[in-house]
Amino acid sequence: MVIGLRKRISRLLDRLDGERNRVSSKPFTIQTNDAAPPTAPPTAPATAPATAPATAPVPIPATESKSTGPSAISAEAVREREMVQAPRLADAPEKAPEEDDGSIRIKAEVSKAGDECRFLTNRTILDGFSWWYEEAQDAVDSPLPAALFEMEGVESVLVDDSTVVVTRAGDRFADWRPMATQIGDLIREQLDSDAAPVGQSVLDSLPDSVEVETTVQQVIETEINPGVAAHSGFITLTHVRGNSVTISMGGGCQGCSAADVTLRQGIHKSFRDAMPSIGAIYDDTDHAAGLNPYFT
Amino acid sequence: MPKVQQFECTIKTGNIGTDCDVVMAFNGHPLPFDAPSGGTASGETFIGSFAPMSVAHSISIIGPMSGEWQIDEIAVTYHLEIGEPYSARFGPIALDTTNQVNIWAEPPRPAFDV
Repeated sequence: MVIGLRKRISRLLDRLDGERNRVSSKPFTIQTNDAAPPTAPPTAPATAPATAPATAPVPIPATESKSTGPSAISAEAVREREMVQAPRLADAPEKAPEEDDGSIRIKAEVSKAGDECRFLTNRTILDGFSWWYEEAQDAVDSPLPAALFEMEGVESVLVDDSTVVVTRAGDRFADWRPMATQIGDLIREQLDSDAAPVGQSVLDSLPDSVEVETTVQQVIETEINPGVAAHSGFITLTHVRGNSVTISMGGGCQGCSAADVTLRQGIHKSFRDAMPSIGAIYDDTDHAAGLNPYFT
Repeated sequence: MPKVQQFECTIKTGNIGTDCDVVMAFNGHPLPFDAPSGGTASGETFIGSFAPMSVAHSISIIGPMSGEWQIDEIAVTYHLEIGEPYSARFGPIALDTTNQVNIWAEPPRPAFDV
């Protein structure tokens, strides 16, 4: 009987050994067809001090020979990983600002989409506020925007403090330099003249920033967010300066390929319908960051 | 958005290195670097390049398949189908089995005096 018991115990131990070997010989790869979130990493957290031991050893069988190349990870597994952003380092030290010799300096900066160009000047055009001229008739008593609308191809004009933003019609990839040079000359000419660049009717219409904040917040809560919620998105008001508004897009809106259309055709229109005196509307969302930018 | 013809990547490893292969993902697809050189042990520098010839929505370095990898600096030079090559430098970051670090930087906006 004792012999029989020993045999049974021995068989059990053999089975246990076999099971242990089977588990430890599983290749270490990330599952390619696993829709579930990745399991907890067998490593120390990323915030561990530099002096901590690197990691607990992960069993990699000799037959796997460190198969850690691209074949060890699938596109699905890549998308499940968190996208982190390392701090961006400056390429070169900032140049010291040039001394003001009294001349008007204008720098042109073409937008990412290519449809508008921002002209940064060293003169205040509309102190602390902004104004959006949708068409030429909006600029009847504002000499600078009125002169810009006389140029062929100018679609809209935004004046924001010391900056002028011109949107043009036509090919967005066409070289801006010829037109920007003309616009620069025109802005310089206007700023050099005695006439105020922006009309009195605009100055009389500038709203209080508290009123702007209240109105925009209400539009976001009652119109915009219920609409974008269908796409798991949301909009947040992040800053109000005078009548200039900055928003950020979150959830499904962050990184969405339709974010620009939503901003220009949805958010801009809703804000301006509710309060026509709202000037610049900016989006400070980092659409390239996050888990899956452009895939949502 | 213009296509990325090629990019070169230099990775300086910090205190904790990795013995895993360096894998990057272009638009979410894991790919090896062409002609990699150098190393990823502590204090070593890895250099690799890739010629995607495609529009970039995202480019990232995938964290190691095991353990942690502390990176001191990543420098990338991008060659787009139009415009001059440009570079971006990124500071320290810790990678592990759960994450990836973005190395895509859009071209600088054209700016000029008028």
